[in-house]
Amino acid sequence: MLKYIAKNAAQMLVTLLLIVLIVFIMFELIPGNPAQIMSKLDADQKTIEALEQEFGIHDPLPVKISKYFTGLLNGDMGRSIRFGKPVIDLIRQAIPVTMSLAIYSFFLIVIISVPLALLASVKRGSFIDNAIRFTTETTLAIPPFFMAVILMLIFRTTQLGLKSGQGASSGSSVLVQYLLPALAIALSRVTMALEFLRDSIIEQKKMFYLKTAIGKGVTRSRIILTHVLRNSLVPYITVLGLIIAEIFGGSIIIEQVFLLPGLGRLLVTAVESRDFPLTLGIIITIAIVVIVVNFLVDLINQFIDPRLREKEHVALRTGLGAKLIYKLNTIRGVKK
Amino acid sequence: MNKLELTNQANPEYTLKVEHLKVVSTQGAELVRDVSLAIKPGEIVGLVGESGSGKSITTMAIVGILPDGISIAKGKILFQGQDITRISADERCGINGNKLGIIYQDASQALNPLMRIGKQIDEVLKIHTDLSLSERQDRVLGTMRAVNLPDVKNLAKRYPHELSGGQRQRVLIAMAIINNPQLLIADEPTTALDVTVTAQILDLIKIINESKQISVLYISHDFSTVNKLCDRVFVLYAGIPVEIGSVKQVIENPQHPYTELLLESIPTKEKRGQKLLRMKGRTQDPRGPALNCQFADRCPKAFGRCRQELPPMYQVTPGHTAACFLLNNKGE
Repeated sequence: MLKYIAKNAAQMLVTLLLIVLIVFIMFELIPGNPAQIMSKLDADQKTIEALEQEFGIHDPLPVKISKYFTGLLNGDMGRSIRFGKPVIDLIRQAIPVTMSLAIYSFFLIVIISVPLALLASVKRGSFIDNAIRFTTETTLAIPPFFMAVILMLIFRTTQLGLKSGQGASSGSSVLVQYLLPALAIALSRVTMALEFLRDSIIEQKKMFYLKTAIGKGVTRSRIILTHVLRNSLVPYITVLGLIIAEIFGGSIIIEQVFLLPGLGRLLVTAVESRDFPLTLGIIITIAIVVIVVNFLVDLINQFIDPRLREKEHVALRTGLGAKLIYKLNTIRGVKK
Repeated sequence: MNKLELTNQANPEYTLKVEHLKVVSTQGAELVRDVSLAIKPGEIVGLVGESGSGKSITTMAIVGILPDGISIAKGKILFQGQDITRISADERCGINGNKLGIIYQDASQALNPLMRIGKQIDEVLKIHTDLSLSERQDRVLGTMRAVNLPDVKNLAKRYPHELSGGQRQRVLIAMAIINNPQLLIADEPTTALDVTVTAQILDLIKIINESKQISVLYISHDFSTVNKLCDRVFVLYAGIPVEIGSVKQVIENPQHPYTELLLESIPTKEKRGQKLLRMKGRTQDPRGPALNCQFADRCPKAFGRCRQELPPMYQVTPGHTAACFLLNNKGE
């Protein structure tokens, strides 16, 4: 187990390194001088040069990168050009907001998708199944920001959303504050989770081992809960991992609409003002979350399906990957 | 036996009695046309036939796992005197795994891949008994030892994919017999196994049958295993039994041309060097009702009447019957 984690940690570091490299190169290619943007319009050449000196704008790329990594090892992500504060502090302020949002909407997705997927798959082809699928496909087709507006209109609690602009801890309880943004995110993403679980359950229901269970005298409800549902979880958890990573990096619009000071809004500000250290810091944070979530998904899936722990069954995993991509494409096809 | 008398409605003469069973699909295909069979307590009965003969459907009807769109149209299945063709799901759950044990052919598919072996066997006890956890554990390990599984404590914690084919089959057998059922249904339990393991599994079934007086319905397409294991045999063709008798009667003196051909296609020492007989054609897909002898098109001895009428069962010797017009001619 430890060996497995160590091996994966090494892989994760390499991934992270590559991401940093790519972002560095991309920022080299973007035109515009951050020192100029930062200083006042009428700033003289000396001030600009001093700033350029401070941020090492004219250093060669390898020097920049090595400087950055030395800082990173000491927990220093540099100073934000736009805000003039250490990047790490800005991110530390924004993370609780986005984290709460992601976890909240994640739970909403699970609470909505598991019972509905069970119902839809057990009553496959019935009116209930079709109604569930029609409704969720409709919510998938509505963009999250529009969903947010609809929800606001329905609940008429725009005031609440404005109040939460001060941060996660202020005002009414987090559960109420984040209900609408989390619901907007959850409703637009629940379809994917539901479809995956429904298909997986339907597939498991065809499996031969259920005949053994019937032969043992296991009741129908027990078969569904202890055999079918558990065995259907692997694809579902994989897709949940994708969704949570997507929420973490992609709730920009929702954070704008509800004025939540999360990572997404910070990222927009950073990119707009060519704030390279801040952008890079946020991207690294999101990348770490995505990588860790993927690793956890792998770990949980291996706990559920012991066959995934073995090398010979890698086929099972890659097979799952291929299925996932195919399924994602068909669901996205619906969206078009 | 005590239990049987207590239930009062039980028929002590037969553990299982199937009467004129007819199973049809929604498209109108007759998958099982008219099967009657009876199994006495402690008896091992073989059900032999090719794929499509209806032997698996008959088993499914007995166990209550007919697929969607296939249903029992006529007949009764009396299990200990109780008709189980139209019982509720709850009653079915009380019988399966408790009084009726089932072993399927492909053990690699028949076990839940994500559940530990011990837990899968234990599930039967959990459902049907009030035993405590430790009592159940003892019984699970004991039954695993009884079916000759090695290192049971360790094995109980393993997953199906970590076991060999023979071990998986033994796990299935352990699951089927742990509650001491009255009847064990073995649906081609040895098809996926190699020869030595097959012999071991057959021995095991025989031992279970003798030591616990459990009746066995053994389904197979292979006469050589039936010969080793069974007391009586039913030969099934296109959903109808064509020959019934003790294994000795049927194998030494086959009366139906289909049985003869089945027996001749088994390779033996005596037939070394000879070409094995291959039956021409294959079982017809069952369609409407049977109006003539279903085997007539493939039968080397068929004559006019075979294609016009359905032959009834003719008695050869006491306990040995066959459905062939040739027997009628012999009698005349």
